[in-house]
Amino acid sequence: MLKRYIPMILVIGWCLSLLGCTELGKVDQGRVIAYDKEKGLVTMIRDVKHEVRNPDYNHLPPVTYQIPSDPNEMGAEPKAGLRMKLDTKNKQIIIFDPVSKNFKTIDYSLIDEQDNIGRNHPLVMDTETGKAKKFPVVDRNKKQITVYSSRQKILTTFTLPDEYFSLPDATWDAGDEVRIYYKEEGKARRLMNISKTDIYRK
Amino acid sequence: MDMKTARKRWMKRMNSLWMTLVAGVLMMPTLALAAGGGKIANIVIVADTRGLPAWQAWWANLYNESHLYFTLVTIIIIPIVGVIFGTLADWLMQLIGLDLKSRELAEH
Repeated sequence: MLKRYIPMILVIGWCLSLLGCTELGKVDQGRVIAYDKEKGLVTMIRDVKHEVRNPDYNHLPPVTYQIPSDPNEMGAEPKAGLRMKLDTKNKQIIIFDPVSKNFKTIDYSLIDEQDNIGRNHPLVMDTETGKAKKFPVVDRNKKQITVYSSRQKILTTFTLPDEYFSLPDATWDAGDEVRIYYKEEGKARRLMNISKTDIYRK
Repeated sequence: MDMKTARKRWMKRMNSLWMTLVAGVLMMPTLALAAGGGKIANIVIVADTRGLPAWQAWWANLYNESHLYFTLVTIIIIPIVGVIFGTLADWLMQLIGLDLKSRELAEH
């Protein structure tokens, strides 16, 4: 009886042993602060907390990965941004400063804050076209910045000292979150754009 | 028309129907591409294996490494798990006194 199954067991064992010999890679996740499409380099601030719903992008120095050589292994191109955290409780915004290569915590003066603003809310989505409105909105005349955090569901408008208004708009924008599968340090084998991947979308 | 001719004609019609169906199926991807809709980014998923226990991390990393390997292992593992569960169920039923290996017919 058992003899009948011996070839099948051997084949299964052989397959599993082959897989056992395959050295698997690791996964890294972070928020993109720079993306060079031409050189194929993505730089991110790593999340070391490993909490899916509550990531904390606070690891320095930033890490750079070469994007996958196979275009089929890469999702939507990531958008870069320097905003790391929007702390509405303490009225602070934390950005990555590319000059000092460190984080910078800036206190802001609140002008307006709207809570519980989902992605489909008319304040953040153009109801006619069905497309998301562009944020941040930096009004250099009124000295106001409006940022939207889809994770926190907060739309907030604040003002900052004058010197900050010379910085590029991307300073106040949060970069896309990406997850990378790699075997060799600095070389992504597969790259997922978490922020732009909605597996439930039809 | 004799039976032989009618049968031949019917076979011919069926063959052309099958050919149309096969051609339609083969053309489907082309038709979908021709439908346009602009450039669409690939949906690429990377399973998060950070902080997972070793065997779960191995399993998820296998998915990240190769969808083919992941599929093969899944195909192999499902019947193995089925046999293990079946054997366990047999053992458990034997333990509680249920004998499913032989039965006495109750119908008369």
